[in-house]
Amino acid sequence: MAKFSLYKWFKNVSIAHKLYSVVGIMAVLIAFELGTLYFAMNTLSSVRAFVGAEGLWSKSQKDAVYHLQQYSQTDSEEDLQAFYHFMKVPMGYHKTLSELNKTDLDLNVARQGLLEGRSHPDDTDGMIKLFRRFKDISYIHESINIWAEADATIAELMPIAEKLHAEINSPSPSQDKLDEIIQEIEPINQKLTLLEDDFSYTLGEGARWLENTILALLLAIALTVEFSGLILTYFVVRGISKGLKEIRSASKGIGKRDFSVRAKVFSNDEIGLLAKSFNDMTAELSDSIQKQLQSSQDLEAKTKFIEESERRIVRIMEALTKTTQFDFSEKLTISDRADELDVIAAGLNTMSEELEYHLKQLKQSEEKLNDAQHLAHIGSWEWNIVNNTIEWSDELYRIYGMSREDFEANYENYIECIHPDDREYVNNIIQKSYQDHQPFDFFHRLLLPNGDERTLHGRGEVFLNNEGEIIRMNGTAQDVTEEKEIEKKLNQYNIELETKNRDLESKTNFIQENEKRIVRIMEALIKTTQLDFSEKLTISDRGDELDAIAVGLNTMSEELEFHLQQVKESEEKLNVAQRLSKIGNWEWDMATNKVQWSDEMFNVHGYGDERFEVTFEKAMERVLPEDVERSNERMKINIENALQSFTENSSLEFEIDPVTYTLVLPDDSRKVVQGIGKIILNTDGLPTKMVGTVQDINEQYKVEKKLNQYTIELEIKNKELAQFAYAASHDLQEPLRTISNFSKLLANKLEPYDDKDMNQYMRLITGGANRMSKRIFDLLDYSTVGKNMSKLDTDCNLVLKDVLIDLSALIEESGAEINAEKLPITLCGDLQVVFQNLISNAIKFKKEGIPPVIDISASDTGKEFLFAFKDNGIGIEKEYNDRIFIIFQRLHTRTEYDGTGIGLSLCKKIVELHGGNIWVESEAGKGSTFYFTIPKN
Amino acid sequence: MRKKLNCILLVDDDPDDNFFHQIIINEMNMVNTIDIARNGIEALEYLQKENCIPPDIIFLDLNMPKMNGWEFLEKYKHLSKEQKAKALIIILTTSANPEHIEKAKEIEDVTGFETKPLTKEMLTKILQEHFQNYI
Repeated sequence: MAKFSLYKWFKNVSIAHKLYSVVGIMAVLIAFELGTLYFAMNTLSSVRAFVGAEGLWSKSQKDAVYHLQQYSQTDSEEDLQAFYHFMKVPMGYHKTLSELNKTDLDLNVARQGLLEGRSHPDDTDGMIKLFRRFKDISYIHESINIWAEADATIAELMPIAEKLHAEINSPSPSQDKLDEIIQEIEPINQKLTLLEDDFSYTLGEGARWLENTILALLLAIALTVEFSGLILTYFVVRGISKGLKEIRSASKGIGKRDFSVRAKVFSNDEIGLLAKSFNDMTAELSDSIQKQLQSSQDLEAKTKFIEESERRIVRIMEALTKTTQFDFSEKLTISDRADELDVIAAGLNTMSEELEYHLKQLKQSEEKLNDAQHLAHIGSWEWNIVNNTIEWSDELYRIYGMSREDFEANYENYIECIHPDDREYVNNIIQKSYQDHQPFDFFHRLLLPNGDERTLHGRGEVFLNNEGEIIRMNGTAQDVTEEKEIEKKLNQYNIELETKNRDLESKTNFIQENEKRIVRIMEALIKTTQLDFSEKLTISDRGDELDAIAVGLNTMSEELEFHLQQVKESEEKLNVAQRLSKIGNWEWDMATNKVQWSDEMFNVHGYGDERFEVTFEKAMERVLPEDVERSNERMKINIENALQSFTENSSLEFEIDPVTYTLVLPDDSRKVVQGIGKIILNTDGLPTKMVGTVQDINEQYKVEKKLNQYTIELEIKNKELAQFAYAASHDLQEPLRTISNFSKLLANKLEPYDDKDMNQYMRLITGGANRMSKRIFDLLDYSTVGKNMSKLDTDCNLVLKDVLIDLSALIEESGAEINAEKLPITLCGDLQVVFQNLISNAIKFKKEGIPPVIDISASDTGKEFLFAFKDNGIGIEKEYNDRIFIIFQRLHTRTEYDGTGIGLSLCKKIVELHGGNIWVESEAGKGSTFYFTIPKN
Repeated sequence: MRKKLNCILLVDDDPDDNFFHQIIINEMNMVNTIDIARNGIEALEYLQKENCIPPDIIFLDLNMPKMNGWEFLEKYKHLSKEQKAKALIIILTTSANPEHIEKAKEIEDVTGFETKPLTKEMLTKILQEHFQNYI
């Protein structure tokens, strides 16, 4: 419990209350003083009354004594009566005194006594009170004692009076006796006189003491009143002036615009409250001044901001104008405010970038499409049936060996280009497709203007209008002459195109979203950049910057719409291309397990027009279970490899080797497809997604399978044949050898007999046996050549050098001159046999008497190296140019030129095993040039 | 006067060839004994005989019935040093199949590879290379 402090209370009480308190205290003190005064007056009055009463008492006592003395002399009854009469006064006081000494005082008796003592009725109460109140005061006590003695003394007069009366009235009054009695009176009288004096004196002393006491009291009270009044006033005034002083000095501070000053609050009274209010007011004032200052600063900043914003809007507008003019050279600077204008600026930058990117992408996409077509040797065409116009892609012209200038693309001319044998077949298919509205897919041959033949894979389909009439046919033609290589490239390109396409799509989405965001942000400010192209911004007639932005955005929106349309069209084209080539593409987001399939993916997997959300599991649903298992294992390995590739080369993409697998369709039919893909990692090296293509290669697979089967069979047959050739030659050699060996022995034995015929027969037998043996060896060579041919990078110069060393004897003997240019290094098997045969042939078939000159050269024709061996020999008649390459074919008799006729056929076989050609250009007597080609890969 | 070789072993199933090769070798007058084994088994038996004359040269045909040349070489590898003696093994076969030549090169015991028929030139060359102290 808080201690109650009067000081504190007084300090905090209101000034009015303070003043009331001061006046109250003064009033109480004055009242007390007045009370005291009244009491003193009363007391003094009572003293006076007692003094008066003493006077009366004394007079009555004196009169009574006198009359008693008179009575003794006069014996007059009157005097006696007078005595009694005067005695009544002391008796009255006696009554009062005896009553006063009683504890249970009867005021009426006491009062009666005083009245009988002839006191004034008004004084009676005061007299009684005085004695009762002050009986312990020494003076009063003394007085009472004196009174009581006097009272007892005067009472002695009564028996004297009676004795006197009895003497007087006795039948024989004796004067002596009377005198004796009278003598008794005097001492009493004297005693009484003394007592009376004492009483008056004592009472007078008491009165004086009282007077002094009361005076002192009154003086003290008066001083207290004065002093307390002074102190209170001082306190009040000090409190007020102190508070006021604080307020005044605070006001001065405020006058000097120092709003931090505060008046000190000393109390909770009006001054304190005033100080508080003053402080509140100062604080508020300070606040409001602060606010005013702030707002003026704000105003300044806002003005600056508005000016800056206007400048930025102008810049944005300029940028917009530039962007709409496809000038992407400048980008808007983005401030660090990150406000709406920055969002617009950033948006516009992005839009401009995207637009630029789109334009680039479109160009690239077109180029890629052309490139892809070119690479894949796929030409595309569109036959607009309504206008009967055919549009051919560049590649199609290339495939057909035509140029746009000299070939008018129409159906008749198209048919003209087709190989004569296939024309009817092609015409039938196209006519059938035209009638049945069904797509077509077939292979046919072309006959190019230069006489080359090409095989094309033609695919096409029919587009109908709403009435079901044909409006156009679209198709592709693929040069499948080198199908394997092309397929690979095409697949790669398709992946690239698909990835680009996907990228484009996602970028487009990004733009749309981004712009929509800007629109949302700026909706209240400017209703603009709504990528919903159905609505255009309304331009007010104010023509201010905002209108300019609106106009710019409208233009941009139109442009964007146009370009998006173009992108869509290009996408559609790609989709058509995908459908025709049966390639679908996919993208698997590993984090969400969502797989995106292109339309063709659904087709390839046999879902037709059915569409659903694809997950990894769903994507694998129709894959043959063994293949799923295989694929999962492969996936693990691929991811490991991708991680390794990331660790080693920090490559973010990892190409997966193509894989062939089987789909099981709901009707239990199977379809072979080929998948190509790559793993994409984020910069932390975590695989995030996979993208790839799946191509329906069922038809190719069937063909390949058959081909493989044939190849295997062929290999078996070849092996058997080689085995046969080897065994045959081996077995044939044995008897032949016996003939040869023993005919030689026989010839040796017969030599001495010198029989001309016999010796010739023997020579013929030996020679025949030897030739047969050599032919059998040659045949074996021929059948086994290239059996285990492994291709290595070979320096043909070194090959030639070795051959020349081997043939050095022959060259020296014939005096041949051999001129060789620098020959290439190429990937090949053993060309030594070819070089050797061509050189030795050139020396062998020299003109009589003319030393052979052989020029050896090679040239790079791009895909292959063309070797030429030119000689100055006897030449070959044109009609035999082909025949010389056939095994055992000879143009000359054995006697003219030695040889088995195997050399060139062996050369032909070796060159052809390399995928090259060998031929001769020659005329009889004019020398020959043997050419052969070795493809680079 | 230079020494003659002790013994030449012809391992061949073709009697014509064996006959012809004997004539040629005899004409060279270079050896005391010419023995013939008609296949790998006979050749092994010959080498493992107690009183066998260790051949200086073995001419080995490849294509033989019962045990061909390759099989013989495989067994020969595991013969004891005494049984192997110091014989040169020269494959003498009908045709020089490159595969066979390669295969023969890898066998330690084989010294040469020749195609039939055996000629005086061949023999002279062998003598010059391996038997310089002989005829």
